Parts: sequence; C-alpha cells; structure tokens
Amino acid sequence: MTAPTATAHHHEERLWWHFFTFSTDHKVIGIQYLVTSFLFYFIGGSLAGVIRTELATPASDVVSPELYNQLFTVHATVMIFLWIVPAGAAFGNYLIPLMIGAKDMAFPVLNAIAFWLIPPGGILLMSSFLVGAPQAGWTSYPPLSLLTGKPGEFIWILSLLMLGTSSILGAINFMVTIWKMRIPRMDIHSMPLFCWAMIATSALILLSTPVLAGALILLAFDLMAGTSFFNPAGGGDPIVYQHMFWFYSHPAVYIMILPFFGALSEILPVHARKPIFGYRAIAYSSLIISFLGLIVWAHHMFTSGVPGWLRMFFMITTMIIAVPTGIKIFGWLGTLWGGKISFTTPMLFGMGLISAFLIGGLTGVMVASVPFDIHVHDTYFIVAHLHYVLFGGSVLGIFAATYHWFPKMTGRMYNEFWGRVHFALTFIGLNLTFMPMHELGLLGMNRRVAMYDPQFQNLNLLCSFGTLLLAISTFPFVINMVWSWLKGPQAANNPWGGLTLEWQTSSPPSIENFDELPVMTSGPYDYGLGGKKADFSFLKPKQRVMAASAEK
Amino acid sequence: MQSPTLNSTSTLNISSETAAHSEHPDLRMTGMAFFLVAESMIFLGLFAAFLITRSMVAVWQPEGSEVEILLPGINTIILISSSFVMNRGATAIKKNDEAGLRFWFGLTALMGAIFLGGQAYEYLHTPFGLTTSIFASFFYVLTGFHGLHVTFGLMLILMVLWRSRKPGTTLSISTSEWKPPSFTGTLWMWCGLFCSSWFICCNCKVGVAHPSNLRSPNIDYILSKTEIPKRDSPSFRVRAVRLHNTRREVLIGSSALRTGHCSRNWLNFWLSSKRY
Repeated sequence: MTAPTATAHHHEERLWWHFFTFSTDHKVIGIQYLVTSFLFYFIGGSLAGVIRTELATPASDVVSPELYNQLFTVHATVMIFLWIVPAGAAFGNYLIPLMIGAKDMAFPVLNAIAFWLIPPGGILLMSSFLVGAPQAGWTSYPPLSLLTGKPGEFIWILSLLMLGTSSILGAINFMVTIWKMRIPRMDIHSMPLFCWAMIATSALILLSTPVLAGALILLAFDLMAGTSFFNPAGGGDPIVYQHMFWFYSHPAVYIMILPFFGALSEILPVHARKPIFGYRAIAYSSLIISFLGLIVWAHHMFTSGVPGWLRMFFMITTMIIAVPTGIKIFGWLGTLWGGKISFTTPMLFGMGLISAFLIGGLTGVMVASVPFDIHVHDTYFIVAHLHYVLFGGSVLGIFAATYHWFPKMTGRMYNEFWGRVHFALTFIGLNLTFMPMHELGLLGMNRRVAMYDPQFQNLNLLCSFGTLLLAISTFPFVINMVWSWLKGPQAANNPWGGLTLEWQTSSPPSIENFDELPVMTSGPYDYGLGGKKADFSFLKPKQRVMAASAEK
Repeated sequence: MQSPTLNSTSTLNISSETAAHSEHPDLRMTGMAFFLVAESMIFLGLFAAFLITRSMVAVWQPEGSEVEILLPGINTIILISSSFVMNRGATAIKKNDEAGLRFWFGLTALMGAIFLGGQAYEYLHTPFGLTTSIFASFFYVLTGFHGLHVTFGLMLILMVLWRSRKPGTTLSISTSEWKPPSFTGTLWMWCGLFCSSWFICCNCKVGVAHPSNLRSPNIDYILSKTEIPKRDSPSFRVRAVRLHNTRREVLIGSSALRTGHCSRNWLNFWLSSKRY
C-alpha cells in the first residue's frame, strides 16, 4: 500500500477543548464516546465495588437491602447502556471511516446528536439516586417495577429511551457509511472484518431496540397513567412485557459482543503476522449470529410459564447459535496457529478474550438446556455466565481495542510494561471474581440478594477479593493512558505494521483522514503474502515510535 | 468471460469516482430507509403486544369499548388515497410543473389534516377513556402514536409547500441529489401502511388467534376425539407413575441444589438423582 507522507503538523489543528464541543468529526466523536463510556465504567465499577463489599459478609451490614436493590439495578443499566454499548459505538465511529477510506461518517451532524444524547441520559440515570433509584433490576419486570418507587422507575425509562434513540441513530449512520462510502476498489469481501461486525451489530440495533422502546412506552403508561398493559390487576399480561423486553435484550448481548469480535479479528492477524483464518467464515458467522440472535429471546423465560413447544424451539435455536460462535473461535485459533505471536498488551487482552469468552459461551450452552436452566435460573450461576460473556468478552475486547488503536487515536505510544501489568491484574481479578460464582449458583445461592446463608461466605469472600483486584487494576490503566496521551513518545504512523487503511494515514489522522484517497494494493490481512518481507516481521518496539522522540 | 469487461470498467471508473468522492455524498434517502426499518419495528412490537394480549383475554372486546367502524374506515381510506395524490405531486416535479406540485401537495396536506381532525373527533366521542379497559388503553396509545407520526409527516409536507413558494423551486428540487418530496413521500406512504394495518388489526375478527373463534373450538375438538384413560387402566397407571417420578426428581433436585443440602459435587448429585 502506498503510505501518504507522514505529516506531523496536521493534528496540531485539534485542540483539547474541541473534545467538549458539538464536533461533527467522526474521530472527535469516537474519542468522546470512548472517554464518556470509560467514565461510566468507573461509576458502574464503583457500584459493583459497593455490591461486593456488602456481599463479603452474609448479613446486610454495609447498605440496606433497598439500597442494595438500587445499586445492582443501576450497576447493570450503567454497564450495559452507558459502558459497553457506547464503547462499541466509539470504535465504530472512530474506525469505520478510516478503515473504508472515507472522510467522515454519512451523517456527521446526526452522529454528533447521537453522542450528545448519552451524557444527559447517563446523568439523568444517576440523578435517580436523589429520588430513590429504580429497584426492580435492569430487567424491570412488571408488576414489580410498578410497585417499587415510581419516580426512580420513570427516570430509568426516560434515560433508556434517550440511550436507545442514540443507539438507533448511530446504527443508521454505521449502516449507510459502510454500505455507501467505501473507496471504489474495496468490495464487500475485501472490507476489514470489523466493518462486517458493525453491519451485523447495526442490523440488530435497528431491528430490536425499537421494540424495547415500544415496551418502555407501554410500561411508562402503566406506571404514570394508570393503564394496565402489563399489570395483571387490570387484565394485562406481564409475560408480554418479558417477550418485548427480551426481544431487545437478548440481541443486546450480541450488540455488546459483536463489535469486539470484529476488533479481535483485526488485532489477532496484526500481532500474529498471519492472514486471518477463514475470512468469509468469520464475516458470514457475524451475520448468522445476528439473525439467530433475534430468535432466541425466550430462553430467558423458561421459568415464566411459556408453553413446552416454545421452550423446545428456543432451546434448539439457542444451542444452534453456538455453531457460528464456535466458527469464529476456531477462525481465531487458526489465525494464531503457527503465527509469529508477539505478546503485546492488545494481543494479551485478545487472547484473554478468547479464553474467558469460551467459558462464558460454554456455560451459555449449559443454561440453554431447559432442565438445567430450571435448576440454576436466578442463581449466581447466571451471574457468573453473564459476567464471563460481558466482562470476559466485551470488556477485555474494549481494552484490547483501546491499546491497539491508542497510538492511532492519540499519536502517542502507551507504556508496554504497565499495559501488561494491567492485563495480568485484570485477568486474575476477572477469574477470581466470577469463577467462584459458578459454584455458588450450583449450591443454590440466589442472585439479587443482599443477605445470604452463612455457608456461602468463603466463596463470596473470594469473589469480593477478586473485585478488589479488578479495582486495583484500573489504576495502572488510567495512569498509563493519561500519562501516555500527554507525555508518551510519539507513535509511528503504523506502529504495528498493519495493512488496513487506518494505518496508512498519519497518527493521529489529519482532519479529513487522508491527504489523498488511499489505494488498496493488498487485502486487509495479507501478512506474509506476496513476497513482502516487511509485512511478515513484527515491528520492534523502537520502530513503533517516531525516530525523533525515540532519541529523547 | 465477464472479468475482462469488469476490470476495464472498474479501472476507468476510478478517476471519476475519485472526483465524486471528494465531496460529501448525500445519502439521506438511504438513511431514511434504515430509519423506517427501525420505526416499523416499534409499530410491529406494539402490534404484537396488542395481538398477544388480545389472544390471552377471554372476552373481546371488553364491554363498553366498542369502536365504530364507519368513521375510522373513511379516515383510513382518506389517508391511504392521499399517498396516491402525493404521487401525482412527485410526477409534477419531474415534469417541472410548479402549479401541479403546489396543487397535489396542498391536497395531500388537506387530506392529512382531515385525517387528524377525524381522529380528534373520534377521541372526543368514544364512550371509553384511557384506563377503562386494556383494549381502550391499546386503542389510545397505538392510534395516538400513529397520529404523532402523521403530524410529523404533515409538517414535512407543509415545509415542501413553503419551499415551493418561490418560482424555480421544482427545478432545484429535481436536479439536486436531495429530494425532500420523496423523503416526505416515503414517510407518508409508510404512515398510510401502518394506519391500514392497525385498522385491520383492530377490526378484523377473523384470522387472529382469538380464543372465542379459533382456539377453543380446536381444543374442544381435540378433547372430544381424545380418549382419556380410565383411572384404573394400565396405561393410566404407567403415566401417573412416570409423572410422579418426574415431579419428585425436579422438586427434590431443585430444593436440594438451592439449599445446598446435596453433595458439594453437583455432578455426582446430578447423576445420583437419576435413580429416583
């Protein structure tokens, strides 16, 4: 590929306060998304810290049970709607135009509107603590949600409607940008896999988020206007809410994981210096996951009294979804196999993702079977499963992507040593926190309880200790990121020797991304092919930074 | 056979497409299409909620919530036919006929306003309120949500009319990539589509899973044809014992697992519980 000449003066036009404005530049919006979602990650993480402190002892001694209910409800809502979903949108915004050689997204103003719905939505949600936060769990099942704290519940609904709107607007943008704005020579099968993943994610958002909006509107009427759409007291049916809610909230799992599956497909070939194994299989499996993801929702409702044939149908579709996911995992393992792996921080997080997500995926197949699910429903086994999927999958993926694209976003190189320390602490903390929860669930400890039987205390103490490790692990991360952004050595334009188009421009990219239209001379993953020796060897740490700043 | 042709054309096109790429492409119609997918899903979700609730309720419609069919029927027909009227307006734009544009779009706006007026009239004259029954709640929320969309569509039409007040507007509309009339028209036709489907959902008594006309006769039929085994017959005893064992297994299993009274090794327990 022809690399445009390295120009360092371009990014000087970008000043720090541009990140606090209604900017329509997709790169600014991407970083705004990412920093905002990380702030909410720390808020949600602090809530989790209080939850685990409470659960360190069997008695309810740190917070009252009512406050405990509020804590886990807001924790889940923040982590899903303000951390992982916006973080996926962050990388989508930052990377899609760069990867397809476009100057910006299709609708830059709409893009800025989509981002600026998130901070008010998040602040609105947090403000519910002032009037009594929602206590009905993030699922907010009626009639429970109609009985516990009206103002908090209504704030929760409004906040979710805002965040959902933001998500839909973002998805329209991703779809149209990928569909229409690729450089002329990039056909759909030479597109980076991250773009495939974002197509699948956006399709899911467009098809499922509106149904949640519909359910929330009806729930708001039940709550505030006294209708009884879901209230059995007035002839309504709470199961209808569960169907509508899970029609969004199961695909939401794929909305949260698919962008990072895509990011992983970018990261592994670069750091293993090998072409991706099974490009089309990985690309199409994203689409199959997003189709199957729409027809598995009732596996959350096996104990809600749904008819037997429906349980059977959803059990079978849920188990089938393991097939495309397995195809992806084998594709990644095939990419690693025999590669020249260099254990940089993004690669470590990427490999951590594969192993941790595998555990979450396997427990997912276990709870897909109706008899087993009836035993472990609403126990800590489910908590363990969902955290292995969302923390072990999405969060490790966010870290991998953050480290991988950090030099491109900021123009600086992060500190490799502290990155690896961060990975070690996170990975140990993750397994220490969530592995014992499997056992707790099988022993019969229910989820969403502030007090529990004293026999469960040892395992709970282990979980709480793991959470402490996770809390500690954020310090090297934050310090590393902030310090490197301000003072780190200047990164080379292509520090990893990547072949996708975002590495062909300067770091950070100029205002309109490319000084001249980039030209594809190879596929996105042609490492070690076509006799290009430079593509096969990984750049040494010294080559990753600009010559001038390396001397300092 | 095809590849040489394809290659040559794509090479030739690069320069022209490169030139086009330097300007920001106008993709608002594509965005509108994706937006309507999302909007349709809200309506489909609400319809599904309505139909499922309807199939669960024993008596439909609840007493005191009968809707009349004539006025909503006329209203629906007006809204749907306004889409065709609007299509004439779009044709007028292509022919660069400004008077035609103003006439047909004005007529569409008028028909939309009549529809909204009819809806307001209906709201004022229905014998039930929002919380009278679950049917009434669905009626107001769904028609209200649809009316909101029609209102937005009407505002867009009025904006097109406002832009057409200066001479030469039709020309600029038809030559630019961005076509407000077709944007508006898409939304308008979509409103008509969902209006008619709601009308059908609400009034059509046949063809939906309705307990009084579909499900119960079927169940009655099946029950009348099924031989229920006598209490002391061998087949009854086998089934009863099997049922009893299954229930016992599940009950013992779940309670033991939940309270932690079983062996700590859950796999052992799982296997041993099969003995019951």
